[in-house]
Amino acid sequence: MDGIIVKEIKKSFNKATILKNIDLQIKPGKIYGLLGRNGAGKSTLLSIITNRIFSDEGTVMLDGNTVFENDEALGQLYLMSERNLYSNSSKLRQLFNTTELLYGNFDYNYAQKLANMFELDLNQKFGKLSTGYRTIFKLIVSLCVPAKYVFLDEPVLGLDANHRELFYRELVDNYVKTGKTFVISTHLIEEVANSLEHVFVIRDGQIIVDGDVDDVLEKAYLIAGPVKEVEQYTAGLNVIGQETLGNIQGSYVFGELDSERILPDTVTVEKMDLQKLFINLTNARGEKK
Amino acid sequence: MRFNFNSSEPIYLQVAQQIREAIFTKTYLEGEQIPSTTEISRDFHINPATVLKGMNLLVADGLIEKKRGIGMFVAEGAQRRIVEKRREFFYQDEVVKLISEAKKLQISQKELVELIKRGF
Amino acid sequence: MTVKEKNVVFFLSKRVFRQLLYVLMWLLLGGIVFPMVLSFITGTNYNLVEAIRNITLGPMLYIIIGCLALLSYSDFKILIQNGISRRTYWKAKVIAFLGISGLSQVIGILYVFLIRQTLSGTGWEKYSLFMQIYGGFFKNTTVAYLMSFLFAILSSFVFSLFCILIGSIFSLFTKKQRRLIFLALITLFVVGIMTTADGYNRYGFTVSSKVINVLNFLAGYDKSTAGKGLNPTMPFIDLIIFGIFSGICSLKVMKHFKIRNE
Repeated sequence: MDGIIVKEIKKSFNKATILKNIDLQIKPGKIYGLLGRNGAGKSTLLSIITNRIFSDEGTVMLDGNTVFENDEALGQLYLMSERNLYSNSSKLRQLFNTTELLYGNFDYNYAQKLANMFELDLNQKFGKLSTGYRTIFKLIVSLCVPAKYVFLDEPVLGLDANHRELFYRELVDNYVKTGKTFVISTHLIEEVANSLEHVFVIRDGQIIVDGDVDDVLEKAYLIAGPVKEVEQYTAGLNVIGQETLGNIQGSYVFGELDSERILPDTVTVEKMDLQKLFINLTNARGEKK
Repeated sequence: MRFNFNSSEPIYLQVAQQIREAIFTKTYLEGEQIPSTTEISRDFHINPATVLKGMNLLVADGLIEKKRGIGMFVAEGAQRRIVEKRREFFYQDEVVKLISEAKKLQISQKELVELIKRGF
Repeated sequence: MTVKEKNVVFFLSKRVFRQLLYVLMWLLLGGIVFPMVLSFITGTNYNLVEAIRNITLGPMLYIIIGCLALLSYSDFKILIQNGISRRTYWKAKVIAFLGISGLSQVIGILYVFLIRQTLSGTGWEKYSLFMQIYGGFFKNTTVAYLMSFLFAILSSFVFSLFCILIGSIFSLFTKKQRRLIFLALITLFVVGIMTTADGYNRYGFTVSSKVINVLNFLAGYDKSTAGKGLNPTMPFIDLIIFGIFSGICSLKVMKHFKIRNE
């Protein structure tokens, strides 16, 4: 069981390079976060993994077999995308039936339960739904489809706070009950951060962080204190961002600190959360260098 | 149980801390079952692996016990052990600090005892 | 065929049937109900029997199914969302349309026999292009009929395959591009006809004998049997070759299907 192995994926549209050289592995039974700003290449990557578009180079393998044009492999993947591929004239119930027909074993009871919770009338046509309810409908399918790997691209688009809360609950609950693998692609990190076990951070078509959340955060520090001392203490370290207020500076460091250096009394070392780390890794200043 | 997550400490440590606190305040009595990993994951959207990591810290400390197929239970004497540990910390952290501060302010032992009596 | 492929065939067939029924309903409304109401209003006589007798169900279905075979992208979207490969989509689509067009021709033939003959007793040969051209070849009318039916069914297969090919080519383009291509084709067609007619008027028109020979060969014309009707084997062979060609090309085209930004 190797799960999904993405190898050396490259993709350009017209002349713009979207994905430069993507390598990653998705192991079964985890919740992954694919984090990146808008336009970083998240959706393109997910579309390539699920065979919706083609990469220029590279391969996607599931348990040792290529995913490309492979019904059996594709039947284990489900991508809930921002783009709506369901036909507008279909009733929601019919779309459940189609999912059942083509994926098999659709969990109708759970779908009905979720529809009640989200107050979604299943006798409506897909085209009549608002953006938020289209998202809800697609989330319901994602949670009830028997695919082993579920990819959620911007899963809370258009949802209000209550519905987002409801979704995160059900996501974790569904994950515990079914052991499915979820890959959540989003630029809204705060709410989902604690649910993730492993993160990929993508910037400009490249994976810049790939690791378990705990391990990644272990190396993410906020060094704060007077400008001069902080500059001295962080010199040569991987500083990914800074904030200054008057004479006080906070420097975000991603990577090992230098244990040889003595920490001045005036300087404090704190940990960063995922949101902060992400913002600093992917902001415009980080892109310079 | 309530979780007030702050951002600067790893989540699994916070999970452990919150449960420890709940045992200390006798929210969970000895021999009682505590919420399952699943329940905590679900209610607070925390990855189950993270919750489990936090719980395992408590198991290692002997504060909770796993009963196969049923769930996690507060161990016998867990509350007392927490109290002991916190008393130890209280001395190390608070009393030692208090005395050193008092010395800096040239407060004598007798005066300090008087002050404590006044505040008690 | 795998279970999945069968399910896709079922899915597509159901969709086509629904669309077919929808179109037929409108045709019924436009072709029978509407004239009936009109004649009622104007006070003229309306002959229902005549109307039913005049329905050419077979060719009608032939055209409608061809048109339905043109639609590709919406099916592709829902299938790729449900983890179906392009190859499986192609296979299922070909199977579904072969089945439906074959079935429709059988129904068309039965309709001709049952309804038209019970209502009027006139023969159907004069409506069949195949009988007109190749009917003279056969001495036995039963054989001629049988061949004619086979031809109807086979040609509907090939027509569907051809429409699948055309539809799949169009699906490669965005809506805007499709509109432009459509316009360009119509312009080319009109201008082409005009210049050809113009050339014919001015210089007369001769087709190279090589072209005529090829056309004769394809049509099954042979000087030795001239007058007795053309050789009917040739159109069958033509159709089969053209059908296989269309099928293979449509697979090649569909392999390039991808989800577009629109």
